[in-house]
Amino acid sequence: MEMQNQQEDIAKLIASGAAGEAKVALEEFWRAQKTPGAAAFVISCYEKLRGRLSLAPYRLAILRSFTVEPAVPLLRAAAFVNGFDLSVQTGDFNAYAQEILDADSSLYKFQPDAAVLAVQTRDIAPELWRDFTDLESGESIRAAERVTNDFRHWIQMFRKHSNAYLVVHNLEQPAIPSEGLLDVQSANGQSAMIRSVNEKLCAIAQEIRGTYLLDYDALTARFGRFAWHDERKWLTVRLPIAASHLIHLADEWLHLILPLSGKLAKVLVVDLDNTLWGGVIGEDGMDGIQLGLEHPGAAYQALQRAMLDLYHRGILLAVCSKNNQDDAMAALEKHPGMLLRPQHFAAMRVNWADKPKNLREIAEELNVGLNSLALLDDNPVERRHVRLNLPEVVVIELPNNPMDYARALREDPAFERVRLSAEDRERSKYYNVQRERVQLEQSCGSREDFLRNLKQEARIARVSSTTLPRVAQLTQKTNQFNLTTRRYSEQDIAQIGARPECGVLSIRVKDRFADNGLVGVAITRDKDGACELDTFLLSCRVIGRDVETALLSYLADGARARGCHLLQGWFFPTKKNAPAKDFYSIHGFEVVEQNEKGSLWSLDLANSGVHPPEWIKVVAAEEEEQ
Amino acid sequence: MTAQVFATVQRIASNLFQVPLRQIAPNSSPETIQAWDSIQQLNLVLALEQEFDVQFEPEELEQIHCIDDIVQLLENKVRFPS
Repeated sequence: MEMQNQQEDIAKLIASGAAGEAKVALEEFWRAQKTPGAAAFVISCYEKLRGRLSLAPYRLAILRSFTVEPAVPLLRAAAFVNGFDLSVQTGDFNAYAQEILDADSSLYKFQPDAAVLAVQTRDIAPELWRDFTDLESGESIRAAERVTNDFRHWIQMFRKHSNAYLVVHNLEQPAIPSEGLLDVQSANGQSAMIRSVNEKLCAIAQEIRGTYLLDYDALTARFGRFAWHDERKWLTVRLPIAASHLIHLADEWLHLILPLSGKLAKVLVVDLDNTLWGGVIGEDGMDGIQLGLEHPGAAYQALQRAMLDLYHRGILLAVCSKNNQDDAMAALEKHPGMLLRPQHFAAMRVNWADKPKNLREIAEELNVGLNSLALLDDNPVERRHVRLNLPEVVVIELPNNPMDYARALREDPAFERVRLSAEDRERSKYYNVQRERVQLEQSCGSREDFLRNLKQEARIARVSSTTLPRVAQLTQKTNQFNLTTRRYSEQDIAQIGARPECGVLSIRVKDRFADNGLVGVAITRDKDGACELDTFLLSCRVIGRDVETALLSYLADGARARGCHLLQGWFFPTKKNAPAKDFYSIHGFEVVEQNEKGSLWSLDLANSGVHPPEWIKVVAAEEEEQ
Repeated sequence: MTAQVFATVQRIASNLFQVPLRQIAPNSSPETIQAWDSIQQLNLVLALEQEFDVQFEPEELEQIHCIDDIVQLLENKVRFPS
């Protein structure tokens, strides 16, 4: 009955036009019951709210050897709640091979952003599953090779026909091996053979661009193989997964879609009292708060460990807490149970101001959009306040018991990554160095003085196989200094880079403090004597230091040398790219075309050029190491 | 008891089939409800299994032709847990 009332309340909110409140209510509703009925309701609501909420469209194809249909509404509902308007196409039952091999199949006509290859051990490798004991010695190794080769062939063919990401389920182990206890005693047992296929799959995925694995074996193990499977449904409707676990498969798909689509939280903003430690530092004091190896402080240390893991994944940490600054800093600096110390935090707001105000300031200080922030706070009232007032911020739901906090953080999809660049790993260090730069800037009399003192060196190089992932990542993540905001996958970049009329360039910037890493991308296309800047973007790390001018000047020289008369580029305004709005006009370009999407700017290369800033040394490199 | 089971089935079916509550009656069936196809029937069965924490046997699934069939099956399962 309660559910019925909640649904009626949400329907009223939608009817009255309160889209933001309806969104928050729908999130709460979905979190409370992730069932098929709730999914149908959530989907129908979001379909009405389309256009009033900011939802990213995404197309997912599911190639499968078993019934997945009941998981699809669960996935779509979960995707809506996470800000995606997901279109799903499920391939015909057991037709995955034909669909992959046939360039004209409905799979490719659907033009997915990503495809999932969901096949089970029992379907693709029956000899490694049901019939394992029939195999003579040596045959099991050949069977594993056969399966590996099938996978490789399908993945290669998929890549030949499509630029979409491909997510491959690896093979699960049986709950009980055919030979019982004997199996684990043998190097060529059933488990060992299935494991060997999975290891080779891992190598294939690294070899064929844009291919990622879903650890289906670990997924079934996480929830228990007996509980995961429903033999009745398998035998009747070819659905191998128990009703209560379909949501976990849908969730796992979503965990991959978030990083593949580039929806990435970059900063974890954390509260202090009763989140990072138990108790209230201002009242309980240093000796009174709970934090350490033993219960009850262990729960908070476990959460800090999970945060430290994210820190090493390149996620920035920040503090936002209502507290006295001195109390909080004393605990952060000196408490013996702390795993996190002040140097782990890229920004701190310890004061009595409103959380949304503090979160805005943190985003500004770290030069990221609000949608790059995720908040971890034990107080449900604060969570709701932020959800309603800053809908862009990801608010992580925490269970009531602190012992479950670490797991909740680890289970949240916001910080999933499918690969890490060198820049990601070093990110927190960059922000520390950034503080030193700010000090230099403050000690210098003028901007010019500062830039001279910075001693910047820019290395510009054509994209290579080592820099390609970072280049693609920058096109997907850069929002502020981005003139066209065109998003490209690694596969797209590889294709564009191979075209003779195109150039894909990366820029790497060092200064006296540190190597900033690969921070900019330009993609050019020459046509009829005009060089068009398809993409021109710079990481916020180096904005405001004339790096953009150095890169543009290099591009202008290059275009002129290739015989181009014009250097042109579109500027497409978005909510976030105001920092790039005057880029072309500052550098002497003039508007030659305008439409509802943006303006085309042009520079006559015969009569003008772009002066390189004298305080940046530009090096044209053959190839860039990553 | 039957009223309570029916109310739950009605709520879940109305959500799944995207029709108002009052359109789900004991004699509602694939003939009377447009969205009720084999996939939606599977979704309904899965939702009810979760809601009532029961499992339908393959033979029982074959007996489902209308809402009342489902209510009767659930009644038996809830009253005489296996």
